[in-house]
Amino acid sequence: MKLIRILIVEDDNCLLAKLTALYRAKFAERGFTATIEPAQTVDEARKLAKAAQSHPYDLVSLDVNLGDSSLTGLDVLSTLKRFESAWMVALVTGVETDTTLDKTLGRDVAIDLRRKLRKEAYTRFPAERLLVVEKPSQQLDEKAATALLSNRLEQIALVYEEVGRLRYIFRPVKVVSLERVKTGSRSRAARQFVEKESRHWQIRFNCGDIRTLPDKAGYLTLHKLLGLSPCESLTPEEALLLEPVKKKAGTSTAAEDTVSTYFISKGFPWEEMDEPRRQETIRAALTLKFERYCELRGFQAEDDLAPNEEDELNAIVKDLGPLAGLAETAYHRLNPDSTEATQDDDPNVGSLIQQGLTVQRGGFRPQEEGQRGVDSLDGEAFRARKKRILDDLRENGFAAMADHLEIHLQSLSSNWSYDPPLGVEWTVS
Amino acid sequence: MNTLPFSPLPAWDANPPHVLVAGNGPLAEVLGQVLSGDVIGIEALDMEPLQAEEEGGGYPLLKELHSVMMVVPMSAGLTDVARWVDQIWRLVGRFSSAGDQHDLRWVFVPVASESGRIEEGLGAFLAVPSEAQLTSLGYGIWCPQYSLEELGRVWRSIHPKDLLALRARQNRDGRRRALSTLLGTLQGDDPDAVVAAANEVATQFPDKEDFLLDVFCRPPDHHLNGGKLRRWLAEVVTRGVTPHLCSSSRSEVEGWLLSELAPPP
Repeated sequence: MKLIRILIVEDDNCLLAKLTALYRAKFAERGFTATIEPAQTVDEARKLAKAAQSHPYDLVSLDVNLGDSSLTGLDVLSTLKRFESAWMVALVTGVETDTTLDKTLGRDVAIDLRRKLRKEAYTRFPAERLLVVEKPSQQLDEKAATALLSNRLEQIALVYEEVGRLRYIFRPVKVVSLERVKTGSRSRAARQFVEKESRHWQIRFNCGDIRTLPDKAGYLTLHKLLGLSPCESLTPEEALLLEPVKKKAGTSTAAEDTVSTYFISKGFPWEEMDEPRRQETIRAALTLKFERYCELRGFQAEDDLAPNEEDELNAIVKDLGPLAGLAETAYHRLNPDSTEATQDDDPNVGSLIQQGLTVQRGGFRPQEEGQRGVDSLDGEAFRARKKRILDDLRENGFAAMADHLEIHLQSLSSNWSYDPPLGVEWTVS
Repeated sequence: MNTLPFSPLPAWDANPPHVLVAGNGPLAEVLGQVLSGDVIGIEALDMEPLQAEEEGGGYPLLKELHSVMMVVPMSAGLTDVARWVDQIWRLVGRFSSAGDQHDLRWVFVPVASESGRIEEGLGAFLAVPSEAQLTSLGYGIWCPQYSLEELGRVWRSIHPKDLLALRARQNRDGRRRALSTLLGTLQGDDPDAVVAAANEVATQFPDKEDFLLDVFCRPPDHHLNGGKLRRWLAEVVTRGVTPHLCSSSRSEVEGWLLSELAPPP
């Protein structure tokens, strides 16, 4: 049985009860056990949305007009987006079916109003996860209204199942970019570009934020995400600073000492701070200048740094102090092709997984009648490759990723299959 | 006090505050100590905190902030308080990942004894329909001559609210809408519409409350601008307006009122 957590925001008591029963029934038909939470005011809904940041709702059924003079369901939608506290939202609106609007405002104005509502909704929440549905008109009799509502909720459940497939995406994508060719001259006129293809990882963080990260950073993030419990989350900024477990001996301690000396000199109670707080402090200090640092480092790598930019870069490096090393590491994560990047500890496992596990033919060779079959040569080769890759992953500190693949990666007839746990989608393009 | 390497503001990343006391002098310091809050000087509020705009609503340096206490100095007027409130919301918008949806409790501590006038003015600026609703909409007032127990009581009675709720309330506020309509009608050439809008403003700011017009006037000369606006309104309401006066008053009235009141183009 799959679980689904639903928030129903509706100010009409009768409709709330009806929606609760119908949602439960519709999702039960599709094999879901629904946990339903109700909210009847904008305030209540926004409070719940803020509290659900670490444990988002799978579906929010949201009424637009909630009887509040200043805030509407659209504001709840903004809160759901800001706190990433809903995977999918079904915006239930009466404007669509309210024929009195046509009579009082005129048909054109009413159509305009409906269009405006949809447009407004789509600017506040990602369109691919937002469904605008009509409430049954108040002119309909009870039976017809219930039938129509049931139909609408069926539609929501169907869309939920479809959209749900994309809940967590880890997708390798090919990125074609223009790379500047080094000319040895600082003259702007001498610039030349060539097309360059590289592989990146497209990763969806929590409920929405999709970032494209270069191969290694993407792979580290993927590894980290798979090891997290559903209640935990990871931001793209945190992902950029991820380090493999295996580190070169000696270097990190020295670096940490310099970092701690730096922060102590700035008056931070470094010794009293726990590790997460320290990491947060380092990230905060880095974030403030990091974007500009990357930009200027990019120009420098292209030998295209103007004198004033060089001064600015030096000033940033000075400001960053010993954190400059960390900024440089993060810069290389974002620009894996930069010449100074250290490739020593890059296992390049992403491509191994993508390319190394393909088997040409079946993984099973039948024996004579009455005897059990044995592995085909391809099947054996597949298992050997899989073992090699998993060993490689574990050796490089990606034990959680290896464990995940061990369970969810299987040979299947002529190819390998990846059968992820509920809520994780790894799309192979 | 620690400071961030790149900012004149307190080092909130090392120890994000739960309570922020905005104000100067011993009262602000003592409140900061009693409430284990960080104290930020009033002058720091007018500074540009950081140049870097963060993608996605800012870095969560103030993510744990739940209350703001503002010590209102004797020399401060309502417009100053309104400006500081806006500045603190701006800081929260920058340094909390929740941005304009970060919930806060606000306690105003007027050093002068005239708390009633502050209450009334804040009500106008914060678009609170009645003083009784002040706490349910996120705000409270505590006078230093009262006990700390009273502060605790006020604090507990406040329901935290975010900036989104404040802006939505302000957008629907009768006073703001009347002023906004007035600015809108001045853009046109209809003297009757201008008179009607001026009458609506006069209704929204009756005689005893017309000092509240200052809250919506441009600082730093908001009192002066408020006075000019009151005289202009009185003239328009009693004598009417000609198309010539309409066009000549347009830029004047725009210059007296806050720019945020201008109707969208």
